[in-house]
Amino acid sequence: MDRKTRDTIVSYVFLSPFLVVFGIFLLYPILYSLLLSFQKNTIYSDFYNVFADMKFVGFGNYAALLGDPEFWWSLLLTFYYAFLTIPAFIALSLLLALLLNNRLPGRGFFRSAFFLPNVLDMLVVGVIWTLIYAPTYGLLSVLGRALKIDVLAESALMSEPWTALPAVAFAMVLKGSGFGMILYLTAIQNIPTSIYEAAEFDGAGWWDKLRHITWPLVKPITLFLIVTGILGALNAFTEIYAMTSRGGPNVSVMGNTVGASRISGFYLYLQFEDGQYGYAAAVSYVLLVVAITVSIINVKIFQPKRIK
Amino acid sequence: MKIFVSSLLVCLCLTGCGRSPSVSDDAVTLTVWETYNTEEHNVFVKLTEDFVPIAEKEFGVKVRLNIQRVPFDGFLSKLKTAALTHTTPDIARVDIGDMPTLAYGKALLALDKADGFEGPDLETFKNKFVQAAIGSNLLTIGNVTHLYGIPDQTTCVALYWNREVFRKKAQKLAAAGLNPLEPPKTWDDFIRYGRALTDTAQQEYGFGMDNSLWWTMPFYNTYAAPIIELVRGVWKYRLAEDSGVAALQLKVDLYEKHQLEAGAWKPGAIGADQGFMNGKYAMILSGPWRLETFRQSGVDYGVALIPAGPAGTSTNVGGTNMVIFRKTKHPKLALAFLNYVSSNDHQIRWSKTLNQIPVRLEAIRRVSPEAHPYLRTFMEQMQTARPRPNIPNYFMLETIVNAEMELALKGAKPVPAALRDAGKLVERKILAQLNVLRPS
Amino acid sequence: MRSWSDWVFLILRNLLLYVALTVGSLVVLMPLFWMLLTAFKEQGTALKNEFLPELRRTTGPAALAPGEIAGAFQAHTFFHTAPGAERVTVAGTFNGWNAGAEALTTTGGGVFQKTLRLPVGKHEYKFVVDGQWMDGPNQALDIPPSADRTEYEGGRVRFVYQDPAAIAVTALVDDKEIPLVKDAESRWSAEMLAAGGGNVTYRFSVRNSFWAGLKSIYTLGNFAAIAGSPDFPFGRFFINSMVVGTVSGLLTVILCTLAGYVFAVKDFLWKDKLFYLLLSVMMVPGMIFFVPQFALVNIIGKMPLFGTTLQEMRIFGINTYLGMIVPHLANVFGIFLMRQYIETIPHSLFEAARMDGANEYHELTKIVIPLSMPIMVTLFLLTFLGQWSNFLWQLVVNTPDSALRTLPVGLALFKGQYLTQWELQMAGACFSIVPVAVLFVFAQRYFIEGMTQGAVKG
Repeated sequence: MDRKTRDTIVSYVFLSPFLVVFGIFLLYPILYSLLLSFQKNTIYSDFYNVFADMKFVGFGNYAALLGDPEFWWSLLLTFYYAFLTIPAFIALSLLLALLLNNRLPGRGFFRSAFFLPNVLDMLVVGVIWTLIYAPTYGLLSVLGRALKIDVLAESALMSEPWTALPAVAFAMVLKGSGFGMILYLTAIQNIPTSIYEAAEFDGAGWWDKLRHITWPLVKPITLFLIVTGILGALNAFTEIYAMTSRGGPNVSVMGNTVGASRISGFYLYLQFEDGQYGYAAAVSYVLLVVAITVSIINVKIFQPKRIK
Repeated sequence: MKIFVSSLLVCLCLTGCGRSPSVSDDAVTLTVWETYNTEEHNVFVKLTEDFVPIAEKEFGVKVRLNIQRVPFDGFLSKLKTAALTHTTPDIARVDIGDMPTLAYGKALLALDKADGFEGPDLETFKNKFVQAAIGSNLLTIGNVTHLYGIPDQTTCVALYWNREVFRKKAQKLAAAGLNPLEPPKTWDDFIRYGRALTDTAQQEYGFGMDNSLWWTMPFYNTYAAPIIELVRGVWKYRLAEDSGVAALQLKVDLYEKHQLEAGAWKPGAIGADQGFMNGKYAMILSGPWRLETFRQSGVDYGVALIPAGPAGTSTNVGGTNMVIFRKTKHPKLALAFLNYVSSNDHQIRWSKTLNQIPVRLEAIRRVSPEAHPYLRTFMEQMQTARPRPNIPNYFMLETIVNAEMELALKGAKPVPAALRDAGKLVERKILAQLNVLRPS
Repeated sequence: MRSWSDWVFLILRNLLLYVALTVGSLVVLMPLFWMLLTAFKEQGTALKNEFLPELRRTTGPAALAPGEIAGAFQAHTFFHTAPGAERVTVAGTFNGWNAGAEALTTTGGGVFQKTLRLPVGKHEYKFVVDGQWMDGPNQALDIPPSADRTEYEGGRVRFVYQDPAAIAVTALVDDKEIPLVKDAESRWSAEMLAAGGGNVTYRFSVRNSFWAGLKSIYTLGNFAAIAGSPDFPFGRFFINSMVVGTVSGLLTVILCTLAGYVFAVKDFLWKDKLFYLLLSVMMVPGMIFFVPQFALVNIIGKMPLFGTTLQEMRIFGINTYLGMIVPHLANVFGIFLMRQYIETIPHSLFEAARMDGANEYHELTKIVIPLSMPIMVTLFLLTFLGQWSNFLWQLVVNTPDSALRTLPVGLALFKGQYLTQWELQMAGACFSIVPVAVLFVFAQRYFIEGMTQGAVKG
């Protein structure tokens, strides 16, 4: 038995518990959904056997989907949302990790403080940000009036199409960065101090150390955050549900009325809510293709050379 | 490995001590899923205890009521997945908006043809109830109309006015020829009141309103504007007609032209209820569910009928119906339960304990004289309500119309154009499906 | 040695750092604060902008003529709508039902008004429009006593103020401040000589008790209501959530560590293909799994097995812990995370181990697990949190009367269609967040702090 064969057998033994669950509870539903995406149910489909009471429509769902301007708009918004959240998320997470990696008294408290928002229910977070962003009576607006800053006083971040999605992104970055901070902290603390000492010996400043030691060595985590960030943006639903009224505010774009925060995850939710299972499955598959394409591009750019 | 094995063991042990196995005897169990709040749930369980001896006597079997409370959030998901595994309950209390989805999907029993229907015929039966409440149960699928449920709870909105704010602005109101001790009675009055109550510099407004279709129905209904209508077997969109345009124009004017509305309709704004509670909006539309919380938060308020439009006063309708699932093993017993819950006696006890609007007209007549004046106002308002569109995709209809109305309120689109554009989408995405004849 | 300027720089820098961190954590924790405050608020007042009690307030100016007693009379404004009427008067117990006595004035538009000073107590009245008494029963009017009971007699003003919540009262006359003394239960008074004998104008400045004010806004009742509610068996929900979270976390970590290890270290057939398959499955929007997964749990639970079924044995299926746990164990995120982390372990370590004749089991237990402990703890925590707040799946897998319902399902009961009982929901949420917060505070000490020290690498 050569090395590779042996490794293959051992590897699959190690993988088997995972693959069993994966095959049953992920792969099978996905393949089943592929089947559904070529079918269509109507409002008359039997409630007790919806999946059996569907009609084969070939690529009908896909054609309808690709012809729906709202879908394209939601996809565009998703990229915008990813662009808004991911860099800010990485920057803030890394910044927090660097700051709290010091021998700073009370760092445990701050780490916990920044991590805690991750535990909170999205609906509670939604209420709070409404109270902050609301026009006229929101915290920002009240502050703006007190400080005589008109831009703030007249702000209505969630009511204006241009600011709604960035406002959601801002809230989400603040809520989530504690998680990124933890990942970075675990990675940074695994960097041997001897490397830094050697660099200091060569006269490297904090920027050089960050640029040439920390950043490359935490790259796997960065890549992880980027890929999961893209997935997060494609799946983002709860924050939109909690912070906006059905993906609003609405805006007219080239004759179509569209929601300024109705990103693809929410678009998908609306289809499910409307009971369009076949159509929703088709949406999922198109989103999957998009996600894979984007991820491949990312992996190609960010994949670190293996340290041998 | 040790962790793996031990955690598995722990896991298996714990699964063992799950639910105690269900008791098996010869009793007939009737399972009811409902979404009442804690207080309502307790009252419901208590009041329906009396059903058991009645049913046992009538049917000659031992009856057990299994009333299960489900969170309102996710209730429809729960029903859908339960249907998939054929584990639906016998009876469920469903929102009137979800009802058509179930009926079109052939999940519900048609009650008017069932054994034990109170009757005597559909028309007589219908006239015993608040029209808007029973209306949501009558669905015309294909060309036949059946009764798919019986209302157990009905509700609507009316005008809340903050007496304290009115008193504070008494001089301004009196100067405008308005009595600060009375609420407005017509939309014209309403505008005059609203303007006198508004003080933009202090962020105080006469009115705070929501944008959605449901919250706009009081406007449409006081103008007798139809939304969609079944005409000779074909669904037609009618909101873009003159009456609908006039009603929405009024709403737009309240914000844009008269500047007496706070902008509470804007996405992300402080909602009408919250603004009212904090004394910022002098008048709002809201339902009886707020009577208690407003009192608790110390607001001195009054409740009045919605200002009259060309078609008089009117309002929207919300509430729930009790339905029986097709797969039930005890349709007769289930229907007896529905009859019990919607009976005058139950409705009167329910209304007296929880301060709610009964669904039967006779019950309203009987409780109304002793009811709190505010609740009485709601009972009066309820009888002016018009049914809302009774179609499976009601929430999609809301999504489409809300978006266009928002653009109209913002001034981004003229009202007629907004309602026309909504119509195009509604026709294409919703009515087209309905107008395909039902496959038998 | 550092010079003094270095020290100043260091101190300033740390100060700035602390300020920034404090402000930052306050901002991100705002939802938590709101949650805690709301949990203690009186029912129905969650959305009221009232968080701190009003500590000091000043009453409106009052004027008193010699011989008068304040509060014995109160101003009341009558309004009456009578379009087209010439003369409207009000008659009642206070003027001997004299229809001609008090005429209301109008500014046009048909609304008439008149302000009268009426004695404290109950009154009845009726409007008379153009000499015609209005129909219907007499109207009732109740003039409440006021807190101000000041008396002005014989050139002396005796300030009296009644307020059970006050802890200090001062009378303000012109620019003088006269402190009042508490002379009876909730009664404050002081005397002043009135110079000149004319009218006296004054205000009261009242300081309220902070605690009394606080008690009027906040309460412990919400916690009591939840703890005592038979609908919300908190202990049961808590144990269920704990079991589901912990077991999910442990199993996920085990599965993902095994898989992450082989993907990071081993070279095997179809490795890349398999990895990309896993990754692409991770990218499918989660909503699509929901319904089929439920159907699968139900079907597997009911499959015949040695004459019985897993469902009947309460091992797997609807209303079982494993039914809630197993479908979410295939966590590709976890594998990806573990692989990314294990890849940073220098390869030389594995090669050295292999030279010493170590097999995979040794590699895993001696190198991978000790070195990956921080990320394993992180993954555990993430899975735990995910399950701790998973609402929809746990709602659907349990029947509404299941004893295995979890906290999120229980908490959702406080959210109604029209009305959310925020106070109760937040009180319940406190029960569910505090344990997790405590867990994290302890865990982070362990998995971030403790690991670097004994590290084998370097």
